[in-house]
Amino acid sequence: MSSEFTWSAEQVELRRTVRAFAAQLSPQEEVRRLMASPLGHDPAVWSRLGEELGVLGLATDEEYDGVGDGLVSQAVVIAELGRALVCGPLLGSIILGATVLGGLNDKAARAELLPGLVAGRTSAALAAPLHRGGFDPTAVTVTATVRHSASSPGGTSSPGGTATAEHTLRGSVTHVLDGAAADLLLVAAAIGGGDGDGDGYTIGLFAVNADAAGLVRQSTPTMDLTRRQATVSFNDVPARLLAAAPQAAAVLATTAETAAVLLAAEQVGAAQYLLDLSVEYARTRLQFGRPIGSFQAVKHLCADMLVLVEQARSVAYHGARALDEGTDDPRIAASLAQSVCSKAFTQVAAMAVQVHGGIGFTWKHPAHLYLKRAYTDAALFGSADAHQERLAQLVLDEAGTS
Amino acid sequence: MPWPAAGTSQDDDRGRVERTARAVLDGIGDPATATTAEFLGACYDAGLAWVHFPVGFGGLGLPAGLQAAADAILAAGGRPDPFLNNPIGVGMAGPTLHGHAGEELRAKLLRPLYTGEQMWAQLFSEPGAGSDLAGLSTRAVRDGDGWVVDGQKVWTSLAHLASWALLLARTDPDLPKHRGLTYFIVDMHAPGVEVRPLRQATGQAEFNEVCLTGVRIPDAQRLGDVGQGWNVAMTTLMNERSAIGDSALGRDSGTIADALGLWRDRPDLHSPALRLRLADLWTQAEAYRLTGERARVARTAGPPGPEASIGKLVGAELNQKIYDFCMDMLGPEGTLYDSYDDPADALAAPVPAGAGEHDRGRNVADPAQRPGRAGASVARRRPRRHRKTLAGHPAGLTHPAPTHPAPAVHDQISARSRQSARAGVAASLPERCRERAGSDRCAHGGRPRRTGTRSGRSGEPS
Repeated sequence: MSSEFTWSAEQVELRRTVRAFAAQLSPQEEVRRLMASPLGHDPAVWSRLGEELGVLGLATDEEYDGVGDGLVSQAVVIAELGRALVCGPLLGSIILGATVLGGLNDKAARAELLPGLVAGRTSAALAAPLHRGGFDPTAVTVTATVRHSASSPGGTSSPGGTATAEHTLRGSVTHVLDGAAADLLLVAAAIGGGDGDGDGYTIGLFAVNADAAGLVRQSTPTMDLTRRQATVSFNDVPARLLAAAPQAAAVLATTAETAAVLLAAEQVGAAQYLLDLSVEYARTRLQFGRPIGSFQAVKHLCADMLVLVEQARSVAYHGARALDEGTDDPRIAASLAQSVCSKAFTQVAAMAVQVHGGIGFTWKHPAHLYLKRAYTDAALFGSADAHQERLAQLVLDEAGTS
Repeated sequence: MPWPAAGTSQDDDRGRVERTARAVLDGIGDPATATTAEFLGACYDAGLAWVHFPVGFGGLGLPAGLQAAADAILAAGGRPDPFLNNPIGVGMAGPTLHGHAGEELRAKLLRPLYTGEQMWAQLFSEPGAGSDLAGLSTRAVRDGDGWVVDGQKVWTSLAHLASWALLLARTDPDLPKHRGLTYFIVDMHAPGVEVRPLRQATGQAEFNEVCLTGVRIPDAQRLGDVGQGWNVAMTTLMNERSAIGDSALGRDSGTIADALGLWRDRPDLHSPALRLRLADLWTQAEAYRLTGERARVARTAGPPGPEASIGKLVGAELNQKIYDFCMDMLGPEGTLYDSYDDPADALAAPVPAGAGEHDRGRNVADPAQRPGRAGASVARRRPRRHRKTLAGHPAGLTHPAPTHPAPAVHDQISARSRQSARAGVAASLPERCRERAGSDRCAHGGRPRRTGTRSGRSGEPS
């Protein structure tokens, strides 16, 4: 019998624990306080999630201080974090950073960089174009140049001392999630010059320390105040090569799929919260002497929200399991999850405002926080349309010609 | 339905079920030489019809969870699908008889029900009581050792083929509406039973109107106590198909397969807009399929969650959009139609095992074989029936989704059913909206009906 859509006792407990943690340490007043703060999150709470609860490294190998449980468990946790809009560098450090590092062949780099991320002690950001629903090498805006200084000047060399060449990065990347405060920047860059083949360049993946010379980070105001972005400029910044071609592009493509699925879990968790909130309001808000939920127009709105949330849940966890266990083409599973969940969350958020009426459009009501999260999430790793285009290629174009 | 914990005794039971199933197949030999009734009769006699029924009544007295073990072996061995063979009988009447009928009645009825030698229908809906089933007004009046029934039923699937029917009738017009109902089984050949086919927009007639005029029913054919009809009806509705091992649907099966087939076979009709539209439909079909799969898994683990309630709503809307796509893709070809002159239900002919969907389907992917008929094929392709009852809401059954409508009229026909389905989903919102007084009434789209009132048309078949 299929184990898809069954939950282990540990996963049920995980969900309960994280929900209780979020209720205690990230109530909505706290979210509102943090979204107005310069950093945007509370590092102490973030590291408690990592070190005390151990829920940031569920998909990371035990060798690197993770739990090695897989993406389904991580998705369970992310859904709960999304439900409560818990502030922290989830996208940069975990959904992107830990995924990129976990995919590297470079064991030394993994051992050096992963434990801090999953413990919540350090944070990371990824500067790579994933916003079209996959890694798009043609949209890379950073170039790497080999610096031919024979002896390693230190600072960015790998601890193994095996670096054969130093690189410097030049270029600028917009919309770097959690980029302003990250301790570690992971950067996709085109390695040009003499060693280019094919189109004249290959893609490399680099690590840049927060204190590297020539690194300029400009925090950009965001619609969703609980999620931070930065424009990151590299002005001949020394960088350490983590992966060269073809590994770098492969790791980034896999990261795009994982991110699509994990973000889908967040979308499900947040949409579920809006459904719960709306149903509760429909049940208790009285007009014409009766609960507004007794009016078919409102009741059916809630029913449609339920349908959207349940379908989103199905594809999100299908995606997580497909990536964990290879039960489906990961490209299809990831695009299915993002396509369905982005639409579901944005629609549910808009419908939640409708159920609430005027109060749902006020600053003090939570609906707008989720509405902004919904539209932001839908744009992060490829729009629903972009993923549908990928599905058209995979399901119709490729299959149709066979 | 509780799923027993794994354990040694269950393993023994499973082994017994599997051995019994293999023995049935050995006894049948070449499945091509056995009639449907012979094959299913052998299954019944071996206790593999409903393994949780008592021995001698089609069962082995084992946990219902073991039915899947039997079904897997028997289906692989060529057993005709008993549900497709007699859907109302096997899906609904069987479990209801099991729960509420005396031994004599069960001994007489269960076997021919399972073999399909006696088809069953369900006399629930009325012209004035559809979604609001409890508002029905067909009367059953005590007369000596029996009852006399007068009224009109409608949307009665398979009534024209049925030997027996499940009947819900009002026995006490003075009680509040749910409480005045009593449940009977009716001999469809009894005097006073008149079946009139209800021709659908597709030209076919799967449904019927049934007029009951002075029909006598022996009291022995009453199921449950007088006034307990609603509770018995709930057993019927909750038990649909649950005794039959559900099987998972694979990707690209069901209605979306028609659109994919059409896309694959007709590159000359491709356009960028259609391509994106089909990708969108495929995505929706996957979300629908996976949610159904999740509901299926949930049913084996415990009480179904809300995911179990959304199948009909989503499925009906999706099917409509898929055939809408097919019509648009086909263009003028879609305006042709096979024939309106064949009102016979596909089920009237013996349905080979598992072939029901195919037979009725006339695959849209076969335009080359049926030149000029592709549109008709689309229109006549039977959308998958959605027989799952929405939690606490009988509308899912009393208004079966229309089955072969031409896409152009599909919108009109299914609008009502869609509203019912959405109300059913709303009703499944756990302990929320519907808890409040008045909300249930609203979900059914109207004011509460006065107890026992007869609708204008009831009992006055035109």
